[in-house]
Amino acid sequence: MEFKRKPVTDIGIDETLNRVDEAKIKKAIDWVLNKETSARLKVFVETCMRCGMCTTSCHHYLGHNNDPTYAPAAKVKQTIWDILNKKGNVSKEDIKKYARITFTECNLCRRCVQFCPFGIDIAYLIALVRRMCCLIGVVPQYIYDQVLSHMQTTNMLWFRQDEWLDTIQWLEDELRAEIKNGKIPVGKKDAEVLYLAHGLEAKYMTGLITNMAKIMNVAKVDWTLPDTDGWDYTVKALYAQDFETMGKVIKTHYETAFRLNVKKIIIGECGHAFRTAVYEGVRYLGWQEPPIPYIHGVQLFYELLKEGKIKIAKKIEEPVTIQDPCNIIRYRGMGKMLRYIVAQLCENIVEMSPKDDHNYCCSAGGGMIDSGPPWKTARIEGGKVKAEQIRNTGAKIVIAPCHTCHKGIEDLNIYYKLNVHVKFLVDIIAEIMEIPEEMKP
Amino acid sequence: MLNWDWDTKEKIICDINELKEKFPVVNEFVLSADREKISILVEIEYKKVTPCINGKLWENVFERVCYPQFSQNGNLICLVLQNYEWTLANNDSLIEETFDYAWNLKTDINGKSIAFNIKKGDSYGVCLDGNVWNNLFFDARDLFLSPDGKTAASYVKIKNPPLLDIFSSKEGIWTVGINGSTWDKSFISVYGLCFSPDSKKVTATVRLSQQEFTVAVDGILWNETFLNAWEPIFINDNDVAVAVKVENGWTLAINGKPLWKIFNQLWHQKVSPDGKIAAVVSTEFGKWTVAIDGKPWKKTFSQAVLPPFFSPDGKKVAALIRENNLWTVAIDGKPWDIGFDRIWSPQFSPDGSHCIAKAEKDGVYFIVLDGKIGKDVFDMLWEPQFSPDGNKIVIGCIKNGKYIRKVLTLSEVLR
Repeated sequence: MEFKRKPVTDIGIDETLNRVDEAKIKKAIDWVLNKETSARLKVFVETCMRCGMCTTSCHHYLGHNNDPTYAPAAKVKQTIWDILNKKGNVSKEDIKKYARITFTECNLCRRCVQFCPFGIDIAYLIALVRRMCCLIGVVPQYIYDQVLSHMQTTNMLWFRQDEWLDTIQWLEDELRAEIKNGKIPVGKKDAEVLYLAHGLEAKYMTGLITNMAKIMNVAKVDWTLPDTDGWDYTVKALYAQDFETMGKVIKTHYETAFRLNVKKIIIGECGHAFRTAVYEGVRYLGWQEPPIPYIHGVQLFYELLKEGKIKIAKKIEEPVTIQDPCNIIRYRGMGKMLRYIVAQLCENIVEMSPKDDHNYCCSAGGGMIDSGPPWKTARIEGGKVKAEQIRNTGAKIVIAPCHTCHKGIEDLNIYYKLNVHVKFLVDIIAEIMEIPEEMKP
Repeated sequence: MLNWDWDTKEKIICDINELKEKFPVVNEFVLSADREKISILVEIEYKKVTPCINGKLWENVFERVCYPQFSQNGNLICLVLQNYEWTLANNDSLIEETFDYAWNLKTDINGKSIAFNIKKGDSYGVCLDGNVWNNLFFDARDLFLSPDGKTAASYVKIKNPPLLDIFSSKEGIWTVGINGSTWDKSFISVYGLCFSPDSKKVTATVRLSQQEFTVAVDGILWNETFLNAWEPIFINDNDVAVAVKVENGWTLAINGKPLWKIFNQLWHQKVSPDGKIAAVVSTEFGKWTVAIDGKPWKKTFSQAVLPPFFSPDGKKVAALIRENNLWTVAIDGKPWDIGFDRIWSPQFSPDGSHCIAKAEKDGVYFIVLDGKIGKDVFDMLWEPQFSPDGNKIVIGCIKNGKYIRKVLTLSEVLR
C-alpha cells in the first residue's frame, strides 16, 4: 500500500510547519492523547479487526479507482495508528501527511460507520488527528482564515456589524417589491423565533435571506434576526477542531436567543452548523442537549407545509432528485421529513441509489470545500460517485438542503457535465408558494 | 422612581387600534421606565417613518428609525436615516453630525450621555455626546459606556492584513479602543469588556494563541494564562473575577488566581452588594445550577440556568431555569412549582421578600408573584416594577388594543 499523491501547496500546512518545532508537535499530540481522549479511543483502536468492510463505503476510495490508501481503515492506519505506534514522536513530514489525509480525504460523513461490524466511529478518529493538527496550528489556509474571523466577529467572513445591519435593511426594501409591507425584523425582543443566517447569505447569496423572509412573512411567523454578532450560524471551527472558538460561537448563538427572549432558534439549510449546535458545540459547553430548541430549515418547512401555513400554487414538473446532507440525515434522521417536503413541491421525484441515510456524501462536507482552491481536485475526484448517482437519476434538478452539498454539487455539475440545476428548498418554496392577495404589493 | 405616580390605578395612554387603522405599518413598541410613555414606530408611507409617543407623531420623518429607546430622563432617542445619512434623534431634534452608518445606541444609567458606533468613509469608531473619536479604525465592534457616562469603549481593529493572510491575523489585530485611544497590545481576539464601578478601569478577556487566554486590565495582562476564559467582571473598583478553564475543568479566578473548586462549566459570575459571588455552574455533564462563593445549590437543572442575580440586600439569589421544556424561577435553589413557555427576568422587592416576573403560557401573558399566577391575562405585557416601599407594582400592558399603565397592590395582583 503506497501513499502516492500529487503535490499540493497550502501555506496553512506547509508554511506553518516551517514555523513550528518538533517539541510543539509532541506537546500537542501528548495533550490530545492524555487530556482529551478516553476509553473511546482505546476501544476503537483495539476493536478494529482490519476486516475491510468499510472500504467500499467510502466515496474517496471509489472515486480514486479503488486506491487502498483511501479506504477508511487505511486512513486511520496512516494517521492515528501511526501516531500511537510512534508514541507521538512524529516528524513534520508525518504531520503534513496526516493533515492532508484528515482534512482533504475524509468528509467526516460517517457512511463508513454504518458498514463497520463494530460501529467504530472512524470520523471521530480522523477528527482527533485534526485536533492535534489544530493545536500545532496546521490547518488549511482557507479554513483557518474563516476560523480567525469567527474568533473575534463570530461570523465566518470578517463581516463588520454595520455591513450586516445595512444588508438586512436593503433586503427588506427588496422584499417590499414582492410582499406588501414585508418586514425583516432585526433585534426584536420577545419574538417567538430567532433566525440565524449563513455568513455567505449576508454577502454573496442575499436572495436566500429574502426568500426566507418571504416565507416567514406569508406564514406569519413571529421572527427576528439578531442585531448583534451571533447572526451567522456557521461554525468553521468545527472543521479545524478548534473547540475553543467553536464553544465561543455556539455560546454566543444561545445567549443571543436568551437575550432576545425567543422560544427557539431556526437556521436555514446547513449541515455542519446544525450538527455543531445540537451535538459538538453544546456538549463542549456542558449541555447534554440544546438548552432551547434548535430547528433546521428542513424541520421548519416540514411544519409549515404540514400545518398549511404555506400553500403551494403549482408543483415543479421536471424530474428532481434529492441530496441527503450527512449532518441532518445520517446524523439526525430527517430523511422522511425531507421527502415529505419534496413531495409537496415536486411532481416527479427520482431517488438516488442508495438514498436517505445510506446516500453518499457530496464530497464537499466536513471542511473539504472550505479548504479552498488548493484541494478542489481532491474534492472533485472524491465526488465521482455522487456525480454518477445524479446522472443515473436523469433528474434536471438536484435539491440539496445544505450550503456545502449545494456548492459541492454545483462544482461536480460543471466538472462532470451533469446538466442539472442545484436548488435549495427555500428558493423553490419562495418561487412556487401562494402569496395571499392582501399581501401582494 | 420616587417621583413616579404610584397613586393612579389605571391610565389609558394610547389607542393602538386607532394607530393601526391610520397607518399601514405600526411596530416596535418601547416604554419609558415609569411606564407613562409608549413609543411606537409608524410608517406613514413607504420610507416615511417616525416615532409616535403616546399617540403624538414627531414632526421629523425618516427613511428608517433604529434602536428607539427612552433614556432615564424620559427622552426618546433613536438612530435615524434621513436623506441617506444616519444621525441621532433626541426628542425630535437631530444632532448636526451625520454618518455613513450608525448603530449600537447606548445611554448611561443616568440618561445623560449618549453613545453609538459610527462609520465615516472606511473608518470606524464611536460618537459620544455628539463628539466623534479623534482616532478611527479599520473596524469597531460593540459599544460599552462607563457607569459615569464619560468614557466609551469598543473592540477595534488596528491592523488590516489582506484576506487569507492568516499569519498576520494570528499575531493579533484586535484591541480595545477607549475614547479613541487604544491599548498598546493587540490580540487574536478580545471580548467581555467591562468597566469598573468607579469608571476608572477597563478589563477584557484576551486570546493570545490557540489555548492561551488571559485577562487584561487597562491593557496590562495577568501573568497567568488559561486554556480558555469567558467574560470578566469587576467585583469592586480594583479586583477582577473571570471563569477560566484549567486542565481538569472550569473554575473562578480572581486577579489571576484560580479560587473555586473545579466545575464541568462555569460562567456568568455576578457580585452582590456585600461582596458574595454567584455564578452559573455545571456540576457534571448536563447538570446545571448556581454556585455562591463556590458552593453549588443542591438542586440541579438539566436544560438551562440563566445568569443569577441577587436581591437588593444580597441575601437571596435567583435565576431563570429550564427543565422539562418549561421555564421558571429558582430562588436559593428552590424552583417555583409552576413552569412557563417563557418567563422574563424577575425583580425582587426592595426588601427581598417578594419576587415578581412576567410570564407567557399558551400565547397569553400574565404576572407571576412569588410563584403564583396573577388573575389578569394580557395581550402584551412589559416587566412589572416594584414601588420603592415594595407594596405596589407598576405595569404597562396592552388590553383590547389599548396601552394601559396600571398600579396594583400585591394583593390585587393575585386576587
